[in-house]
Amino acid sequence: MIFKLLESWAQKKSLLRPPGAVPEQEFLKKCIRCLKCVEVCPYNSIKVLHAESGDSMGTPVIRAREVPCYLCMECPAVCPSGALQPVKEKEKVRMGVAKIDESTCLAYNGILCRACYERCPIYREAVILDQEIYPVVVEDKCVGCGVCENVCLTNPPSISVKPG
Amino acid sequence: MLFKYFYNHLSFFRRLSQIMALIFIFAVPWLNRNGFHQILGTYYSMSIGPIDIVDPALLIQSILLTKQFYITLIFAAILPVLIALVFGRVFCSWACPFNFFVELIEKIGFFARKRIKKNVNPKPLYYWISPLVFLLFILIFNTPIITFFSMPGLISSQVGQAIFFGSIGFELTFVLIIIGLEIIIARKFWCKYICPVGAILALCRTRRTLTVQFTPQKCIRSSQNPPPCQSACPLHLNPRSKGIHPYCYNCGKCISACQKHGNALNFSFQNKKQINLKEIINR
Repeated sequence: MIFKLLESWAQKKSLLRPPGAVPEQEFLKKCIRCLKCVEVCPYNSIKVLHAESGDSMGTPVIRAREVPCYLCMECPAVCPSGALQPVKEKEKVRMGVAKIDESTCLAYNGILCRACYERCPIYREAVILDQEIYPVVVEDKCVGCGVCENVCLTNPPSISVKPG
Repeated sequence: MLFKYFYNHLSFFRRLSQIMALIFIFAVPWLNRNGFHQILGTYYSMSIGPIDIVDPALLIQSILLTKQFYITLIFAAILPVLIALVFGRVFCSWACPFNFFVELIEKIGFFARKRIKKNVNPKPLYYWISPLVFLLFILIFNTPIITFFSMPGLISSQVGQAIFFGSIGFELTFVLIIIGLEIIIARKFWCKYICPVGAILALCRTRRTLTVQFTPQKCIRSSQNPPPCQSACPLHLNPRSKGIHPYCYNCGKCISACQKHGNALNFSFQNKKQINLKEIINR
């Protein structure tokens, strides 16, 4: 129980919020925990935090490894409190930035894999292949949707989104 | 004539309204899960087609926390505020699921019966202590505490989460604890003295807001102790004396009870000065 609390406190710094979210401190004040974003998401990507998360409880969160965000942008339109702001183009979303762990990534270890490159919705721009083999995240273009983290073949995933 | 029918069957229509409000909590997440997104939300905030609705208490909380006025949120509070200005705290007695559950349990008769003081309504001042404490808490600790203490919001949110994810959190346990306290310790203490949602709705009261009106000439001065109107009231108020506001939430049970006796109580949009029964006797 205490371990769970400590774990959720540590993860508090790294919660992946739905697209269009305002910065975390402001988000916690604005979000009225109405669950409209959860309900409107056609992919059921958005989950809800429980009471162990302290005052984050009831807020929406995306767990990319379970279901990533597919950038349909339905959720900011229904948010009544401005915790999620509409974003004009999906390329301008900044949920977070993906980061590759080169020590575990298959491509960096001699096995040809292009899963993250192929699945990235900002195709050929947010993840590029260095020398046609090694995936590299272009941080300015990455929207932080988590599709790459979701499709990565290693477990734990070698590419993951750092929120914020 | 339709109005008369409604008046004579207040209890039935109120139950119907409460049941529909309860079905809403279950139906909406279920419909959302199956691809229907025209109606969304919980009793924190919902949208029906293009119309947004938000709990006015949450609007106040949001303004205090963020120090900003967000237009969408302000617009969404208009409808519930209008309803409260015209009809009073009807949300509490005609929709709120927490009140519905507590009334059901009361009907089954779990409560230790407390002696009701005759002819005494609690001082209106006591009602405003709780919302003041909540608002101060928000200002001092910067936490959205009304969200965590809104019974209709918590219940609808937990049901929504159960339907979407098959899991619920400690929030439901909190609701059950409060319901338990209502059974064991004090009846209706939450609705009467604590709930911040009702308190903000009660602020929207004017001279023309729907109220329960007493006509002393028709009163048969029942010898029952307490009289039928007072024992019908779920909040243990005395409808014959002044000071039912801000507590009264316009459920109409006292009106229905009196229809069998003198028919001295009715709903009215004109707040005629409430006369104490003792004054009539002493004239």
